[in-house]
Amino acid sequence: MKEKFASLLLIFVLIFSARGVCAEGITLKHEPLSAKWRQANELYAAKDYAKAVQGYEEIASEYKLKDPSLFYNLGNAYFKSGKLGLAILNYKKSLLADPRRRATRENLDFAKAQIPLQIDSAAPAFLKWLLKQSRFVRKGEAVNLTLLFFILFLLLTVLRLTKEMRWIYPARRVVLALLLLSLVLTGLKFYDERDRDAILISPQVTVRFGPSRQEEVEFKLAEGIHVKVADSIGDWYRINLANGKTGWVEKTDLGFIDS
Amino acid sequence: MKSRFLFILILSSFLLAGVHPLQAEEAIDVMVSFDKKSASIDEEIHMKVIIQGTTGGMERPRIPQLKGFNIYYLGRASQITIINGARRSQTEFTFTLVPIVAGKFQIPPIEVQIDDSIYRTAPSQIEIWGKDGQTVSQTAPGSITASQSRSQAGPSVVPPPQPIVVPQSQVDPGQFQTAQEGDEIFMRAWTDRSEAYVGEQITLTYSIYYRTDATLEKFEEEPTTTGFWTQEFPAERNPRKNVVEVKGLKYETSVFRKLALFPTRSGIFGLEPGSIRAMIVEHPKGQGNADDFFNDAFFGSGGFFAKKTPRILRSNPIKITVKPLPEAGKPASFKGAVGAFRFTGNLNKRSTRQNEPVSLELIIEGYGNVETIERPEIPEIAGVKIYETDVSSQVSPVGDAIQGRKRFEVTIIPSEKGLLTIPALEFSFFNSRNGTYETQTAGPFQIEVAKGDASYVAPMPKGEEDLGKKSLEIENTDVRYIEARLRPDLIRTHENFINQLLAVAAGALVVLVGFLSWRRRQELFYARHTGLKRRLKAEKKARRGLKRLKRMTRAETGEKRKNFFARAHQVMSEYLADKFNVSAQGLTLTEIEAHMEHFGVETVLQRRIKDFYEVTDRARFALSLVSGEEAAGLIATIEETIKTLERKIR
Repeated sequence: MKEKFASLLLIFVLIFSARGVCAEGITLKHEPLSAKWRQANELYAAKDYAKAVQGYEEIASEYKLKDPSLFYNLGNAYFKSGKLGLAILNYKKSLLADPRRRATRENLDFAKAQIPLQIDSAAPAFLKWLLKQSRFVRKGEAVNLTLLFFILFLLLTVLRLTKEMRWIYPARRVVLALLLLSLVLTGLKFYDERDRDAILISPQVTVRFGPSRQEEVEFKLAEGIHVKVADSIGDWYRINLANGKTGWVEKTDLGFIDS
Repeated sequence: MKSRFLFILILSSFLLAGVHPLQAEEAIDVMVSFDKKSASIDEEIHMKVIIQGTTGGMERPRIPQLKGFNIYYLGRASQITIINGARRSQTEFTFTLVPIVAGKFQIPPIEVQIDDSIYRTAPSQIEIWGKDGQTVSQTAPGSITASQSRSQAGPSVVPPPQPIVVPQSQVDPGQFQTAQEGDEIFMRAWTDRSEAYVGEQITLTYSIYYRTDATLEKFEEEPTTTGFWTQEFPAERNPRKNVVEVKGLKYETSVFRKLALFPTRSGIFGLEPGSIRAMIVEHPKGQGNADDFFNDAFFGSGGFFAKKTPRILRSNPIKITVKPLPEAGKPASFKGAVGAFRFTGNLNKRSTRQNEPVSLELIIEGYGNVETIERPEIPEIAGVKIYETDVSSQVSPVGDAIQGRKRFEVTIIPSEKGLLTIPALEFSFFNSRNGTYETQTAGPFQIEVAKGDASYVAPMPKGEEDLGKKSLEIENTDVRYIEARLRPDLIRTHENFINQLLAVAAGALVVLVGFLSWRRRQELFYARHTGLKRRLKAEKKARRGLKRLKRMTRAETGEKRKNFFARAHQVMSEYLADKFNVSAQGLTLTEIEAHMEHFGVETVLQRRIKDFYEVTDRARFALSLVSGEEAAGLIATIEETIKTLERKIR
């Protein structure tokens, strides 16, 4: 009996001790986000950009945050550290989450102006303009907007079928027009994102004819250039440039915007 | 045997002499050369004392005393060449002679001691012209003033100094601030006056005093000139040098920076001159020929072992007392200008038409700070519009003074014809030299204005900057600053969920709309085909009636029993009317029989229907004559009728 009691007591103590250790582990692991955020910002303000980058990256990986402010600050820290490609990548990630943020757009434009290479788009001017306008809206927002207009259209249709009201007819036409516009917008978003978007993050990227270093070099690109990833084999990606050129680059040369 | 030995000995001697020519002793030769044999006063003459045949064992040549020249040692260079096995060595000592008087001079032989021997150069003649191109016809042995020797250093080393005559008025011993005298290098900042009026120019001068090679770098701290408007003098390419004695030590000195300060308010100011960084070259002391060799300018930058040490040079603060301008005698048109100016005005034309512009140019030029000068007031004249359309200024130093020119262009638009007189314009300034206010006038200006047709047009200014306004200048570009806060967004976070919710709602509505659409189509169809509708709905309607009848069969009271038969009659009649697509009102048995014949209804059923109506008619008038079995049979008849007619009539 006594032995049993002693064993139970021992188990009880062990459980509480373990719990205490675990609790301390939890306390250490889940340092408040706000404190880490503030610390990273202070490092940036003190112009210690390398450490600021580290701080922001830790927040991103630990908390799995997709906050536009986080990517924006990370972009700034990379830019100040001289890593143009990573800066542009993070600005794009920030815009993916909040496409209408003016400061991010301005910083992205400023960073893109530093790219020594210019790739002209081969798309028709009107399509380029349409795609540019569509980038002020997230894909999810476009889909939601389309669904909302669709629902509104259906409600008006239900009213038309059940009640005879004069205003329903013009209202329905207006909503139908809006629905079509939002469908076009959604279509543009899906078209624009049909391939994965990526940014070249290596200072100089060698584009080859095939997915191997033994393949001939086709051309070379600078960091920060936006590409579409059409295919992948092993550690290689086939990219498409805005001017229609295509080639293969190594996995480590680019970063995906949606990752 | 002996002869053979002798022959070998002689041959060996010759061979030794021939095979090892490097070991043969070179002849030592000493000469002097000049890059020019005639020059004018202050024009540099480079003199080289060249020693050929050796590079070691020698000291610097002794330059004899030569009046009329300042001489500076620039350095030593050595070289050894071997050509076709022949070795040649040469050492050069370079000097700069700066003549200070005109005349014909004979440079006496220059002595060089090499090891234990003294070598001399040949005498030379140099002709020096005066500033007017004439030479003084005298040949007198000159003396050369010994000066600081320094090696030929880097590009920042100031060029050979030239004697300067510093006007006494610019030098006020009382202004020399206490410096770290005795050091190899120090700086002094001084002003040409310690008292000035508001707006009067004060010249701040920076001089460097040095006894060693040095390089001036940048200003670590700029002078604090709060309360002063400043204008920098352009740097001189070849600043004048002077040799002065400070506490028994000889220094070379030159001015390296000058600022013109214009005080903007009265008071006592402590001017902090700032500090400048200098790099001084320290030569290690040589003991013998080897050290001389390595200290040679051949190795550049002051020698192989020369050490560069940074120094911060400061000067003491300077006290400046700024007096307010006197109130006595201040004219009404005075607006703060201090200096000595000339004021003029010109019209671009003397005649014009109504509402056509005339330009009036007002120019103020002279010594003083023209940047802050305001346009003289032009009085308001009835019927005349006046606009300032252009302002420009130019500033340039003249000696130690700043002079400038400021131009105002004013557009005058008269609206009335006749003789327009613009009264004389006044410009007042305070002349600090004599301590009085002066007023200059320009005009009056007369313009003949003829009748005009043009409508009044306000002149367009040439640019915002010409009216004293500047457009925004972007000085730098950079990325925008980081965000201070994270921005959680519920909609963005739950976007997928909202998508799904909306999709489900949309799906449900689609179904609803589909259903409603179908129903409406049906209604429209039935509206066009009423008979069909009646036929199709007849059974349902009849069965509803049957249900009620069955409930009514349990009725015991007479009234309810009567209702049962009336209801049964109604159900049957409506059903038959719907199936035959005729009106239920006034449907007779004869019509029913005819329709049943038409649709081929069996005779048995026809009889039953006939009996049905007989019973229900009887019940209306004599309920007691209807038995319970007959009542139950009515329901069965209705059911049978429905069953048969649904089969026969679709």
